[in-house]
Amino acid sequence: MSVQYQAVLMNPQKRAYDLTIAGGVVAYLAVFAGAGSLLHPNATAETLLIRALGTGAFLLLHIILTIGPLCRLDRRFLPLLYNRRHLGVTMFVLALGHGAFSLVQFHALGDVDPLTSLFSSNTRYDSLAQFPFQQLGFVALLILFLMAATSHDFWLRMLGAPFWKRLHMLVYAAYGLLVGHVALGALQSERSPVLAGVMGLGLVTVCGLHVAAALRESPVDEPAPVEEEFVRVGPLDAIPENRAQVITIGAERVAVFRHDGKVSALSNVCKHQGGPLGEGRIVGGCITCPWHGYQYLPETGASPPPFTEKVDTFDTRVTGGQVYVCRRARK
Amino acid sequence: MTRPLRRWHRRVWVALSILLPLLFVAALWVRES
Repeated sequence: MSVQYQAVLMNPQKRAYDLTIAGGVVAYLAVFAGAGSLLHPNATAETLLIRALGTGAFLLLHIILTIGPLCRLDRRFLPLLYNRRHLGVTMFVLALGHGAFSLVQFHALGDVDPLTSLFSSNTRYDSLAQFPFQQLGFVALLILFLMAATSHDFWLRMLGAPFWKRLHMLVYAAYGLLVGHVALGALQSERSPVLAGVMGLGLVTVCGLHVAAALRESPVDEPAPVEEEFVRVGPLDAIPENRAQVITIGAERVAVFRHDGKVSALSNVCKHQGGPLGEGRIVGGCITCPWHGYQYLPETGASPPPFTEKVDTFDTRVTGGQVYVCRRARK
Repeated sequence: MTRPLRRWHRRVWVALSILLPLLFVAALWVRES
């Protein structure tokens, strides 16, 4: 076995990130339970806990889903992306608590086992008003479990970045299921406009940001016209020092960096999680991925020792102040 | 992300941006009717 487990390496930034998450979660649960007990004096502690955990997880999922498009729209949000997996695992723990308490509260007191009860007590799949919304939540929880369980870099290396990334994009299916879970569940019994208003706002924010980021990004994916061996990128002056301009050649994006009076072109796709290298910058002589800080030498595309990652590189040429990149990667 | 994954990602969000608001409005309509 070539992939070995290594414990998560903590640093001050990760500690601050985790403490912020933990503080935020505890504060949210306390405020929700406190306000809930005042507004609904007849509600039991279990009911308040179920609602606090469920809304907390759903809110956190919205925050997680906005981080990606926010980073694509504005680089200042990138620090939030760095440890996004910690937010994901926290969200799963809250969702698991919500699911476990709900299972005990609503399905553990009968003659059949709780899971059988969950899937057999309501089978009105033909009715929108009485749809078995709890099953939607259960399936979403299974997806979130798969993601939380494979969130460590060990699984990223074990499964390979492309498959791992596809697996973790199941979060969109989980989001769809959870919107159904809440809309056909809590929203049907909760008549106050607060839940509907907050949920509608969350939906518009998440979908709006993703569509806005997609509209901004999609023109970059139009391949440059390829008639010659070398493709024109644009004027050298348009590329800031230690930064890149991204161009699409053939099937993939290429990041063209300007540094120390030289120009280097590399695949835009980081070997770690497919992060956009062209949105990073050169730090200490190395191109640094904006997602998780993986580094590559501009000339060779290789990570500095002892790391062994390597991305494709392309020959470049500067003629008359214009930068050109070879359309084929170096052998 | 690679280009095929980016394209797939964009299509998923266009679909979700249409379907989820429809589901939300339908759920509100069912509740009120």
